[in-house]
Amino acid sequence: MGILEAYRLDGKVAVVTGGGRGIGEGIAHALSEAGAAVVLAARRREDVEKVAADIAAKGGRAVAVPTDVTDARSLEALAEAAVDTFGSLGIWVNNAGGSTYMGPLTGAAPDAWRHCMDVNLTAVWAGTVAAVKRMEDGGSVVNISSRAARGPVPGSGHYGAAKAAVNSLTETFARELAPRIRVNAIEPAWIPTEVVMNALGIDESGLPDLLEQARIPAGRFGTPLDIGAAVVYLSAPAAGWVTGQIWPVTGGL
Amino acid sequence: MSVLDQYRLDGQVAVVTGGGRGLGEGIAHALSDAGAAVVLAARRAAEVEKVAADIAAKGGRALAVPTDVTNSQALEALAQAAVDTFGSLGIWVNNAGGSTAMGPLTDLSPQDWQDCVDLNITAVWAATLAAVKRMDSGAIVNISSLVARGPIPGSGHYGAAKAAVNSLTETFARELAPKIRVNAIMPGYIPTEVMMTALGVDEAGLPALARQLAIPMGKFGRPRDIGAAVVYLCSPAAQWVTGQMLPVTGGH
Repeated sequence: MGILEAYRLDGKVAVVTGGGRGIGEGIAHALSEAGAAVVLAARRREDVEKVAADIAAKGGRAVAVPTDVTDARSLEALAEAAVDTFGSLGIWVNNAGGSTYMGPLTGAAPDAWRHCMDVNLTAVWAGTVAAVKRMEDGGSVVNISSRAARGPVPGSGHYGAAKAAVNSLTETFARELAPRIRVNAIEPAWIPTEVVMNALGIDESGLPDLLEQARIPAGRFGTPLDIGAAVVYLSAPAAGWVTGQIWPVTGGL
Repeated sequence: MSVLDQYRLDGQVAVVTGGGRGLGEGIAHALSDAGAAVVLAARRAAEVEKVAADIAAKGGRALAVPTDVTNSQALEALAQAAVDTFGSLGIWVNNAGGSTAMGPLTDLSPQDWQDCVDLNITAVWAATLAAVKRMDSGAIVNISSLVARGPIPGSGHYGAAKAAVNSLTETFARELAPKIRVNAIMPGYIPTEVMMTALGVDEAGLPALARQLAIPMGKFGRPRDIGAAVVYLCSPAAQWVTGQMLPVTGGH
């Protein structure tokens, strides 16, 4: 087998949470191009249905399953839908996340705190539990963490704490599920999706200033495809001996 | 363009030090499979010539350049040979390394220590200098070791050297961005001939060693596992990845 075959995902079935837009949309397209059938999960039905239609239009196989990742039953139904529709489950990407609150830790309301933990942390635990009970041997779980897990980002301390916990979950799940299922995480930085731009209160016109401020060694922002290519590598046979790792895709930060 | 095209290295020219056997041999085959022309460097001419012939037999392009990586003039000549033969240089894998001495840090002779520093650290620095002055853009991958992350009694000198390689990786990445990306791979236990000799085990002893090491994935790694990581890191798929250390360890 040539090495390039080792990056293919033919015959695999992949679930992507938060798959309706932004980084999740890029991950879904990458998985599809690598040969996987993709199940798109997000709260907004029209978002996931659009991504599924885009993938189908390119000749890929995709299904949209509107899902609330803060509801464990909804996650169980999602995993079951993947198996029912495509016959198996081999890849699960915990990508849904984010935060509606931005501000100092001392200013976070209890509800905002709890919502951040529910979306970013508990959903990863519950999503992985739902996935692995149905997953075939040789499966792969990828958690989309954040560079905010590694160092303080004032105003995002709650989000950073949740993502640090996701990194820890990644390491423990990897040990507990080896050798049957591999579990890795990716830490993106500075990918100006709609969600990020809203959180920062900027639009397209503010990106050049932000780029200057961010001092990214690579000299550009990341794209959802940068994350998608990392997810494909980590989910593919090419990374068959990689588990429990936290992989920064950050432009050098 | 499909994401699968992102892992291709067509038209690239790659140098692999320590390319005569073991991990370097696996890395060279992977780079060739992905489309790169490969320049194989190692001290023993017979070994690099064999790997070059194997790659050519599969339809790849390869050149053997016997090289002592502890000699900076030899590294300059190696980089120049890559450009002279294949017309450019875009990928450089600092894979040569190892240690002949094993034992507690207090028992090492000054010569053991110096040899380890020369081979594992200084060669990476000098080779990177030789490479980047001939690279317009591209990727450097340093083969570090999991030993860099935690103490392994008996390999403290090697661990210190590999920790220095990780640090070099981070600084070179900042200094060479955005033109050239620099990353490292930290392999875990991969039973190459060199490693088996260092650990004093033969083929028959491998199953017992695997149990003792408790590798979460339940198996040793293969040179191919490292090769696939090198291809990913050198390819457009990782074009926004620099200054990072990727552990390929079976879960350690």
